[in-house]
Amino acid sequence: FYGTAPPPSPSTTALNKLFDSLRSADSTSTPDKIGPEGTMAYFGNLGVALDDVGCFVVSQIVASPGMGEMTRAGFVNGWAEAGAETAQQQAALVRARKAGLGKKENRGVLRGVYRHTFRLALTAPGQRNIDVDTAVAMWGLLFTAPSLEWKGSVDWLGLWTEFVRARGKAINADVWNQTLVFAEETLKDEGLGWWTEEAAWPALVDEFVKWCREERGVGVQKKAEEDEMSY
Amino acid sequence: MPAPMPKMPNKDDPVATWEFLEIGVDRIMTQLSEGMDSKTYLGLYSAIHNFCTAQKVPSTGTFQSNGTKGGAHLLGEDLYQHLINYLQAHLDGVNQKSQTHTNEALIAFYIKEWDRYTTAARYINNLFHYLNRHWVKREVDEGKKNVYDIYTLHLVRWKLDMFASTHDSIMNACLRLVEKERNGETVENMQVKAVVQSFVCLGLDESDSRKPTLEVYKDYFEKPFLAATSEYYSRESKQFLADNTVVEYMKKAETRLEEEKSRALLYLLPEIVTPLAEACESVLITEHSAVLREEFQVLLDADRQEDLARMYRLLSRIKEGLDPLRTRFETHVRKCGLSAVEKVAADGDNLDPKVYVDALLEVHTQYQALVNTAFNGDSEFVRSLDNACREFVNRNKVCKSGSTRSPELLAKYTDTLLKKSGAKMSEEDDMEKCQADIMTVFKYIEDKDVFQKFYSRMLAKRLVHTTSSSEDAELSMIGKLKEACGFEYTNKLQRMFQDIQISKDLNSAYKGWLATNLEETDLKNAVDASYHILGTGFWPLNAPTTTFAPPQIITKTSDRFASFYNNKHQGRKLSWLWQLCKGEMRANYARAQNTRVAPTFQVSTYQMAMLLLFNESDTVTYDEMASATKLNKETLDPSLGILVKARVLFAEPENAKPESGTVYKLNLGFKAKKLKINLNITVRSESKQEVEDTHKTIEEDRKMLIQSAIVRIMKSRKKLKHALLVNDTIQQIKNRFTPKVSDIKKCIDILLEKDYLERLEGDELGYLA
Repeated sequence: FYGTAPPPSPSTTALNKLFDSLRSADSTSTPDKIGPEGTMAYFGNLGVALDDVGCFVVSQIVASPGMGEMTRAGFVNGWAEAGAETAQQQAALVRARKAGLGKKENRGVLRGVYRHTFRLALTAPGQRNIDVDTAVAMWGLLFTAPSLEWKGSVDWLGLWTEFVRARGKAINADVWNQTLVFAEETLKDEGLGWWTEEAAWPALVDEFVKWCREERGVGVQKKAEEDEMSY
Repeated sequence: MPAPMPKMPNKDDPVATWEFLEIGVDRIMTQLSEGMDSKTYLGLYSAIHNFCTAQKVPSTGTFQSNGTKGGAHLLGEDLYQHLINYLQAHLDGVNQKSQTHTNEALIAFYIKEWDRYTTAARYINNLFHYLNRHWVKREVDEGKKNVYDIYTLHLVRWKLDMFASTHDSIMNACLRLVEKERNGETVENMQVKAVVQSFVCLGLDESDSRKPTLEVYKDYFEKPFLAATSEYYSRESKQFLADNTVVEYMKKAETRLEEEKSRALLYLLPEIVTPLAEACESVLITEHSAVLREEFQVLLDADRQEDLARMYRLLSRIKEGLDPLRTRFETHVRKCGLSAVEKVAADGDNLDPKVYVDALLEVHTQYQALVNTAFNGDSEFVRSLDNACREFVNRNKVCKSGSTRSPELLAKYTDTLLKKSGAKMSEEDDMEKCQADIMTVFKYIEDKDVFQKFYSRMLAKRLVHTTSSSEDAELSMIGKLKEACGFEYTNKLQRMFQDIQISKDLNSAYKGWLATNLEETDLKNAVDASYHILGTGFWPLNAPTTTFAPPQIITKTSDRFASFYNNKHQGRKLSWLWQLCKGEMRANYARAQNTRVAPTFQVSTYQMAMLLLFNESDTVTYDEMASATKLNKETLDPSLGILVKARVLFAEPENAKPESGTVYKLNLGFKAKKLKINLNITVRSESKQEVEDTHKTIEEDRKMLIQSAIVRIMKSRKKLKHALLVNDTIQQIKNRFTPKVSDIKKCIDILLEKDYLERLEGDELGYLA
């Protein structure tokens, strides 16, 4: 009956208080916004570090507008929705979410975290894409354990990283979002039998598939090979 | 004289009445030709009438009670049954006699007997009029089966007692007769017609005896006739093909089909025309269609138009007979096109556009004529021709380096056609024909945007350099392009024409302005110049690639015009395209051969700037020239090279390269062979560069075209599946060029990034206003 019971409704007053207390630890803060100093301290309390996918998990919950930034509204609403009122509860929730991020049943959570992470990397107003190095660093966290491991009999993350580095083209939101979808598909069928040029993949994904097949000899459909052999 | 009839029988005595009647009936049946007097006829008629009315109670008049009806009923039947018995016996005798005949004699006998019998039947029918009107009618009305009016009864008896046992031998005799005719003998074919008619008459509808049906004819004539026909031609065609060529066979088959058609019309029923044709076509064509088709390629290779036409006619008669031909035709035309191109492709980059276009056209013209004459202009063959032409026009050896070669060469050919040139081909008709030919090739060009690019560049040059041969020809060409591709395609071309027209007016206005605003002496010394004002957006012209300091006299001239122009159109910016400017200079130090006149040099403005330096000094160094004109090396050196080559200038030391240290000296002893000497010659590498530039802008334009098509589609659809969007985009653009899926996807990526589009669930894209 745990599943059917409504989650304990955390008091927004308590969360506002917690936000205020975090604000006092940050010299640059404004009434409704906490800067990197306070945010990092708070992350430390929760037991997540910057080179840790847990930091993306927290950022998504509190809807950080940028890396190391928190707003009052995001903080209060985010935790209220997640159902964690105290720092201890929050730390426990983050720990659990992080640990389960790679699990199949948590794809929805992963997708939310993954998509929000792109926003974190946008620093200038009007910026539409992020440079390859930043993207690769973030993929490094998002596509390894405890998050989704983009690896089967082929080290897809390794290939993808090599490929996008070589292309050097900045990554826009669509490519970013579609990369996760693409990753999920590759893990379902490493022969890439589901891929066609006519499908809606971004051009970069199409080029990657061709590159894999032509240059690396991976992602080749086994069935097609056998058919050829039987001739 | 027939024997006199016995006395009228008692109307209540059925036996006597029939005996009386039988004599009359038999006389009609067997001795009709001897005639029957009306007294006898009336006697017979009355006997039937009396007999049928005998049972009626006289006092009730015409009123028929139920009681009397039953009696008349029975009596009518009595007569009817007697007649049946008589007919059976009679026909039995006829049948016996028929056994003694065979073949044509049998047919003749059958027809003779049939005619006699049916004629008699009509008389007897009239004789039994009263029975027909009353007893038979009532029986039929009450739904009695197997009761017919007397005439039909005759037919029924014939069918049962005569036809049933003889139709096989009759039919066989007919078939043998027709076979004889097919073998070339003259036969009494009208006899067959009579047999057919007899068979048709025997087709009686069971439910309504007055309505004839074709069933008997179909079962006993048509079926065996078609079977015999099939067998005959199956045998004959196999034999003929074994001994003769396919070409000969086709002639034979065609003749046979015609013969059968006229045979059907001459002495068979019109109903048989279609099934007979089908039967013949099946054995004469379908059975041998593989062999015929094998011959198709041979005939194509030998250009045997008449035989090809015959094959077309034959195979068009059978279902899907032509489909394999179309495929072969398409392949053949494509191969011809490819090999025609291959022949001229040996010239490589120096390929003359005219030679190339002619090669394409020749193949098209040849096979278009073939389609029209031999294939009856069949729209499916037209389509195959179009497919083949599109293939070899866009993908051939010349296009190997890039599919854009065809439109480029076609545009170049058009340019040579529309340019003033020594070749005197610009007769009105020729021009019209050449333009029509160009449009023929143009229709097949896939990269129509490439043609447009090159065409507009070349048109710009013709207009700016006034080298166009005829304005009418230019407008007619643009009109044709507009008709083929729409207003948008030629919009800029038309604007270019407008600019030239406006410039003409502007120049005359400027002349007037000069006359009122300039002192007379100034006017006399001013450079006589004319100007083209060209709208930046419409002309495919680039800014100069070099810096340039025009000589003072030119600056003065251009500034004067600029002040006039700015006065007229405030806020417009004039940029001078010096690389397109040219002028004439008189070399007063020299004389044209055999005259006392100073020759005129036609030069570019750059060359003008160089040569004017020699007004100050007879020698000018390379460095001085470079710093005075500000021209970059890439422009200066070739222009200078032409002046040296034409011996207007000498380089010192001799053959020195154009570089720092070289000194140029004016050739004061210049020998001019003509009054006008053209020194404004385009350097070859320059035009090659232009081609490359053109190709580059094409790529950019295509991206824009794809993007705007996507936006247009999404704006109206709001939401669309990815695959449909790609498809719609191709549809929208393909009359300009055929976009690659990957290129469209790249453009979708760009639009996603720019937030014109968004990705929705399930491969759908949404439009963001």
